Amino acid sequence: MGKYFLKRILELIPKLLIITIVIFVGMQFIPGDPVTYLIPPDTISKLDPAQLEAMREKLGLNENVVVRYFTWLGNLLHGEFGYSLVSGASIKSMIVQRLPASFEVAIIALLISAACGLTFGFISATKQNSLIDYFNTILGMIGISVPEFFFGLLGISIFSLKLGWLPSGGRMMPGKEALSDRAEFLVLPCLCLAIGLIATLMRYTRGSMLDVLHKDYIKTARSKGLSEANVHIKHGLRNALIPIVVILVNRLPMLLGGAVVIESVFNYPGMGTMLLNAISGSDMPVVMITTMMIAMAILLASLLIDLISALLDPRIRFGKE
Amino acid sequence: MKKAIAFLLCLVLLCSLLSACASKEETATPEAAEQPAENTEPETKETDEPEAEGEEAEAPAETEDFSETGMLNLSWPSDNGTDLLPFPWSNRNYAVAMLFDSLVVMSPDGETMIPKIAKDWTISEDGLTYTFTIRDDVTWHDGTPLTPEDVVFSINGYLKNPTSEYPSQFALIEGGEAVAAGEADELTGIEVDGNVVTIHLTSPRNDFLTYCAIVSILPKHILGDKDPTLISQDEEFLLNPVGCGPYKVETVNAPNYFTLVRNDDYYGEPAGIRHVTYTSYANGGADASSAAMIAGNLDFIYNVSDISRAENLLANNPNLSMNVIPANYARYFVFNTAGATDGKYNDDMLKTEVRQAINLLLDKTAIANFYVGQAAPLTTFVNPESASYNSDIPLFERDVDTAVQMLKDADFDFNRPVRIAYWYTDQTTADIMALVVQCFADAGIEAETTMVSGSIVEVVYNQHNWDLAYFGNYGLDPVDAFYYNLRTPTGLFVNIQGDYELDTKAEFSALYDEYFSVETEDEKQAILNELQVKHLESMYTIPLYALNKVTVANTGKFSYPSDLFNMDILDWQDYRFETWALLSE
Repeated sequence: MGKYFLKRILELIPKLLIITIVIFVGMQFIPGDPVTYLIPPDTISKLDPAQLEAMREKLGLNENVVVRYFTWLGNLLHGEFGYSLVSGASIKSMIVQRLPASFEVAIIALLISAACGLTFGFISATKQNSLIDYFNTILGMIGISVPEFFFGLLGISIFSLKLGWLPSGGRMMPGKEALSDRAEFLVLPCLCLAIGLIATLMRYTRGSMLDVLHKDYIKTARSKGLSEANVHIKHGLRNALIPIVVILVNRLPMLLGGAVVIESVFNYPGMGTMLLNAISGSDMPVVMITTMMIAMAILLASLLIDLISALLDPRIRFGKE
Repeated sequence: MKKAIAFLLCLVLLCSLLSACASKEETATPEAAEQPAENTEPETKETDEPEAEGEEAEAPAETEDFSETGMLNLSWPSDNGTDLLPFPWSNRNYAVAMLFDSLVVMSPDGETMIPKIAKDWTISEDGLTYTFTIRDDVTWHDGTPLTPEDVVFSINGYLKNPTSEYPSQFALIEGGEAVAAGEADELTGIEVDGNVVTIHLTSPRNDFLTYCAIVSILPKHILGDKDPTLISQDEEFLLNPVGCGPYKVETVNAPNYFTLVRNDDYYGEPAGIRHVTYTSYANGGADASSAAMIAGNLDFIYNVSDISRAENLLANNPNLSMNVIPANYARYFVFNTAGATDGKYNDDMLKTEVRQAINLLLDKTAIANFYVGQAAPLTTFVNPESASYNSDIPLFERDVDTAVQMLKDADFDFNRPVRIAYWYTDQTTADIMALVVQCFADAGIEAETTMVSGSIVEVVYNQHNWDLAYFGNYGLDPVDAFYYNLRTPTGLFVNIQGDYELDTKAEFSALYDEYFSVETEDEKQAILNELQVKHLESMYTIPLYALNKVTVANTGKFSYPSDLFNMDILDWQDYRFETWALLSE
């Protein structure tokens, strides 16, 4: 199994390279120009074309696309992420400022959704067709159907504007930089992001548990005299967990990629809005680094799924028998 | 039992749907700010403060002053994003004015210039030589004394940096055109003698002193070795900008906020409020700043996108007040008279009668009404309510029949479409374009609108595959902002105007230069009147509407000069930070 995973890790490198080429080429077809993005359209008409051209030259935008790609790749291998074409800020500092923001929202939302989704799904499955099952089903449908920005706006309206309990947005303010001080900024974004995840996990947990609870080995476990709790948790939930873990781990790239909608609603400076703004401004270096990070996260998540699946189910083997 | 529960749930669902469909009362949600005010009559709350007296906004008697202990919360101007602080030459907004000073600033009535870094100045009889005496008590925030060399460095750099807002005025300095074109490094028309800086212009320009207010003086000892073309993106400087203004940077926590603190070594009157925070709303946009304003976390918004949003803010927070500023901003159509690179140019645009007819086709009142209470339809580029409007010109009235007849007389080909390009991405612009298409359709002409994506320079100016383009511009003076483009084409405009009717454009150029060389207001008005007439005769551009600006401020929290927003000259104006005060924390 060790060789299998080593091979998978080494395979990441060519896959990442291919992804960077695809993104780089794709960006050439997206209309946009970072130089004119910098300058308001209303003032462009008064500009000297020679100055614009000089700026494009200095930013390396006139070079051949192949040269630009290999220049970028070479710099990356030296640990230089480069600078944003639009703002001039170093991409490393942009990521350092935003990655923790995305990370903390996503990890808290994932933990909340895992705890609540698994619990509600487990209860629904073990008390199938009861009032609580119906209630959870309705909540699950609402959570999946209603877009998260709606919950966000509702949350801001009630808890921020009407009650004044929570801030309306942002990540921190002067004097409130420590996590304990700015926890209030995290409440609404994390809860809104978690709602959809809870609903999805709850439904999958319920379905997976119901499927497992009808298996023969569950009957065997009961007939052996094990308690219902033991049957449901030790035998039922553990076997039902594999597809649920896949869903959870698939959400991990969100830690890096951010949740654009939530970040926009709550004015939260994360990776999602950074990527969105970079695409709008044709800020190629930022787009390349960010998408590469997300791609790496997705590939690593895929690897993690295999590993966790193997841990959960001893029947799964990798490599030669 | 199951059926009873199902029935109950259906009942709950039905009630929810019915209550959702009921008429919505005003709620304090950011989404509510998107809905136009039900009362479409613009009850514009002109400022309640006394006008044009320079007095502070009324404050309750015996109010405690929180200026030393409280915090003024403003929005981070995000023209260049929120990873770096605003670059001063791109836009002299209030954040820039707090950190940096210029040679002079404008009085609130726009009539006089007030000394700042330049303690006095003289202008030669012929208007070609400006002599500034620089104060010797100005220091940068790092303690280094400001010198006349910083002034020279800044003016040179302003010309070289492509993001500078108004470079054309400084290109008139001797050597300016060569510097702007990258053919020379230094202006030949600036001299330093002790603490005196002398500037020589190639031609007189009666508003040159005014535009000296726009150029923030930057420190040569920090930026002197940097590429001036890329100063606007210099991370080292823009994360810790060193200016000489009434405030200096205290903390920078990009992209969340940055804070300023009063500069106790400021050469002028100390700022009234000690601490100012600029919070970023770039990710959430107008909705986020609206919510913050209602919640009392943001104290001022400059240029709210539309008046209904401003009215909604006022309805949800009684401490807020609104100001509508008659602005020198207008949107207009420009005709392409240089042809198209794809061979599909509608050459009927070269006929003056066709251009005049298209002007008559457009329903400018309906277009302006998209900005309820905020826009006024234009006949010429001078607002009809302004004293500068040529009263001999009758106000615009749409006349489709006359337009169609004019088109027929000019042998206009009704079967060829008219292509219109625009690049503003807001929904109001999309709605306006739809209305314009309808206006053309009323005359039996097909109009195709295209939103430009990508490089505006490449698509609009280099390829120019359009017949009309939707422009917007702003300036202190309508001649500079709008009649500038009617002259003999320069820069990017060469591509879209070519050598069409160069004689007429030379006449515009002569009038334009004369306007900025005369001394009296009467002479200027006479030239402006003539420009307005000639413009309508040639119709190279179609004025559509003037768009006012709307500010919203928490006047329950802080006070500022009541005449600060009387005119749209904020970029040039003396903000008088020494008179600002916090009325609550």
